[in-house]
Formats: sequence, C-alpha cells, structure tokens
Amino acid sequence: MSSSTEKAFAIERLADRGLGYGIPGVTVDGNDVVAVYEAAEAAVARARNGEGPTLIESITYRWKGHSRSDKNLYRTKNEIEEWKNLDPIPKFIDRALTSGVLNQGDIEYIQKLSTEQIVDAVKQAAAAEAAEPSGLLEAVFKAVSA
Amino acid sequence: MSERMLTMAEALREALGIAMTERPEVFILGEDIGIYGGAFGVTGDLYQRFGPERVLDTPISELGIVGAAVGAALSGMRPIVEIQFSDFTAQAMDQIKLRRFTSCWEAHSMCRWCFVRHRDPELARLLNTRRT
Repeated sequence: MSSSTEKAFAIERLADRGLGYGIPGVTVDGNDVVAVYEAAEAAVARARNGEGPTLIESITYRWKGHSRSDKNLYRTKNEIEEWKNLDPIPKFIDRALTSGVLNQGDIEYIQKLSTEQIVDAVKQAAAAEAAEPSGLLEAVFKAVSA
Repeated sequence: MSERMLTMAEALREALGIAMTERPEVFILGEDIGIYGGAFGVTGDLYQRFGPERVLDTPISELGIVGAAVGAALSGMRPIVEIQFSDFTAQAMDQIKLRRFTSCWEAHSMCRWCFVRHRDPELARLLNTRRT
C-alpha cells in the first residue's frame, strides 16, 4: 500500500511482463474511459477468437488512503492533486459533449440515476437481516448427486 | 526492580532496535514496514533510525520476501521477516517448507527457527537465527 510501482518493480511498463508468458502486453491510460474500452475490446476479440489472453496495464491512481488509518506519509499532497486533475469522469463528459454523443441533459440524467442506484443499494444493504453463522457455507460447496 | 508497561508492538520494536544495534548483520524486510511504519505500527521509527537498507520495504510477494530472507540467512545475514497478516504466510509455503527447512540439512549446518506470533493486532513474525 505504501510502495510506488517505480520502487516495487524493476521495469517501467508492467505490460512488458506479458512477453515472458508469450502473450501481448498493452499499456493504456487508465483514466481514459475510451482507451480502456478499446484495449479491452481488442483483448476480448482476441480471446474469443481462440488466440489466448492479453495482459492490459491500465495506469491509474488511488486518491485516498488504503484504509482509514493510512496517513499518506509515503507520497506528497502535490502528487495526489496532480492525479485528481486527471479524473476520468469529467474527462469523459468533455469528450462525450464535444463529440455530440451525449448532451448536458443526458449527463445529468445518468449522474442522477447512478446516485439513486448507489443510495438504494446502501439502503437495501443496511435494511437486510444480519448474516447467520449457519449460512457460512452457503455458496461454498456445490451439491453433487451420488 | 521497576516495572515498565509496553504494548506488544512497542516491545517488539524495542527488541528489533536492540538486535539491529548489536548486530550489523540483522535487517528487517517486509511490506509497508518503512516510512509507513508497518501495517500495525510495529516497525514505527526504525526506518528513520536504521535507514532503507536495514528496514527494507518489499514488493507484495511473500514468496519473494521469505526466499530473499532464506538466501540472506544462508550467506550469514540475520534477516527478520515481517509477514503483514499471518494468513499471508501460506503464500510463502514453498520457501518455508522446501527451502527454509531443507536448506539446513543440505548445508550440513544447524538451523533454528522460531515463529513468534503477535496476538492482537494480528501479526506474524518469522525470526531466523542460524547456529554455526
């Protein structure tokens, strides 16, 4: 959680690791929705065509601490701010508006809908009955007929 | 005799500091033990006191951490491994079972390992000392 990829890996592009497994490695800007989509689309097409897996390195950043006790001592406020400026959501909104795929009304509708879905999910989870110890093995084993 | 009250983390940190002061071949390696001070604060300020070469932040690879420690121990160093959560120990079983235990016999020297487990917060610590 506190080691940067520069420090933890000897190579600059993790996608290069694909070479050792004989599979293509692709590096994409993980904060560019369209770039990630296109890389995934090509990888899925390759896999469905029977040509095997693809390693996709999607470069992005965790803004907040790893947990609530993480004081971010291992990085600077500047670094965090720089990455916040690269927020993929406004970047994608800009692109969708400029290209005319979506209008301002669509954007607001999608944002409202997403917020509602999240609020509903939280409410549903909070209202759900607490799990019982007897349910511990549910969905762990599959019944097999003798 | 006066009594001192320490938390388990403070006692471990003090012991690690003493071991590193007394023996230059002692070093610690593990995940987030440097600037972060350890996931449970055990290493604390040891990074500031002893530097990055003796309080070594490693990538997330228990197998690599224990493997490096076994190699270092066999060549005369006294590594102390911090495994962040004891359940991650299973990730290093190949090195623990096949290398750590068998190397002693392969090298015809005596190895003594003790396994100290921190009860709460959960922390496992493998302490390797080799008798020659």
